[in-house]
Amino acid sequence: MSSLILSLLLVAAAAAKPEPTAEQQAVYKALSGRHESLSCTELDAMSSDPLGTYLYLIEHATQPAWVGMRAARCVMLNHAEAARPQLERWVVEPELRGLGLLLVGQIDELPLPLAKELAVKAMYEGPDPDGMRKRIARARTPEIAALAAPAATTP
Amino acid sequence: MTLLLVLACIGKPGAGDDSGVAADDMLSRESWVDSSNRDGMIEIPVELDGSASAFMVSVESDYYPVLETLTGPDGRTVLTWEDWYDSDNSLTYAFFWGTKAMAFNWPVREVDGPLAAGTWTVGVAMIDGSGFYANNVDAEVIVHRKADPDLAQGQVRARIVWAQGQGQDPDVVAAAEQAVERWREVWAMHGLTLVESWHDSELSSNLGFADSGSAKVEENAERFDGRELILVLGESISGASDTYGIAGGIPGSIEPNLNSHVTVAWLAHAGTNGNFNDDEIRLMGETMAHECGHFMGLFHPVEWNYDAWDALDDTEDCRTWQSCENKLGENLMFPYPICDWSSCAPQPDLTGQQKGVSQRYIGAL
Repeated sequence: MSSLILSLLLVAAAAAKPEPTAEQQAVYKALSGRHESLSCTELDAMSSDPLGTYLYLIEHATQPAWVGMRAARCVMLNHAEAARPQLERWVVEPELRGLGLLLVGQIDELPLPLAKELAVKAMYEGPDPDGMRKRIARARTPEIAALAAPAATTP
Repeated sequence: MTLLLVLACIGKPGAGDDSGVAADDMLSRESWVDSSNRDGMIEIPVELDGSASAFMVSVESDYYPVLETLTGPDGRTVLTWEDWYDSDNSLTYAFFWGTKAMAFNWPVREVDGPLAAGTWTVGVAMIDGSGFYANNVDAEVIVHRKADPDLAQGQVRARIVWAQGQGQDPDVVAAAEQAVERWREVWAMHGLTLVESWHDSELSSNLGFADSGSAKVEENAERFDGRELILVLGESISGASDTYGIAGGIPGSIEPNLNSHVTVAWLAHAGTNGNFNDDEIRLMGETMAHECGHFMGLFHPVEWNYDAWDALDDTEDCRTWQSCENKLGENLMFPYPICDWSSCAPQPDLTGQQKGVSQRYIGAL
């Protein structure tokens, strides 16, 4: 009986982690390099569904760790509006701390309205409000950095 | 090494010899300020007495110093940029325009040595921002020589410098300390003994200087002895949290200058959850060893597209990803780790000639 349960669990686990497609494999390999990497525009062209590919890599490619981070950067640079729900998760969920730090570190790259929304979310709903506030205060865009000022409006 | 501070001692070697034999008898240093001639060249004499096993010439200027030729004591040209500039094999970045602080370490390979006694001449072109030769421009020249009788073993001193505030996060500190142990372990396999010390700094945690160099890097390096590698640990590189490590040159100079740094970004190693596991710590340690390998003169044995290689004979000039991964996948200097989405294979290996390059680096004593 226990072996049946184990088998069912393994089947369920396999179902939860679909095998990567050839496109996903190719983008994974392209993002694995120690230094130079293709631009996000070039990476987009490698996939029929670039956002889906990046999100798959972020979720399933755990090693090397920079693959998911590089994929996340391309989501931010080229697909931010379409990925709004995912970006909101990055800044509030503790288990996505690395993605939250990446997003806030490059927040100037996002469209300004979205950047401001995510900055506020990170400072008020995220797991490390003080740390995020310090980082947002260093944003190059004055309108974003101003959100971290002590007197800034709360959401 | 600020140019303005040494303008008063313009002259040929000896006039600005400010330190003579360094505290460690193996290493000596001299410096002076020189000017390019009517052809835009500075001809740098390097006097060797027969005991030197390697020398390094570092040149820093407001212009772009580029290595053109190396001439031996017998007047024979032993190295010229024309043989290497368009080559598919890489020997040194000193040939390439793009930085205001050039470093050239010689010999690179065993076949390039040993060094004969006499006067060697390093021909350096001074190039302006448009790519033209610039005459009558000043540059600071530093020549290091080492008299190391044992090129199978070497000690490398490394200053590990936290970018601003980074040394306060206990989880990051613990991961970095374990990663350094992996770095030490890998280097020990190749006769390199790592002797490190840890320091705080005011360098930005977003290591924005990594690509282009910075006066802040030079200012940071000037705190130290001028004879060690400097590894800067920060959160990200140039705002892009996806870049995880860069060396300031291949090779880089041990003299404090705009590019005297190896930078490593911890966040790209920690991944999407921002926390380190054992594999990620090991990879970060191998990144430290890999980037410092670049700084000591090592190129990737094969580049990313399998169409360019280092200049060594015992690293396979493979041409497909399958053959390259099979033959070089465990090499420390391979351009990417071999992974299966959830784990990566260790990459500790160096070939005999790669070890030789690292041992001939001026900072391996």
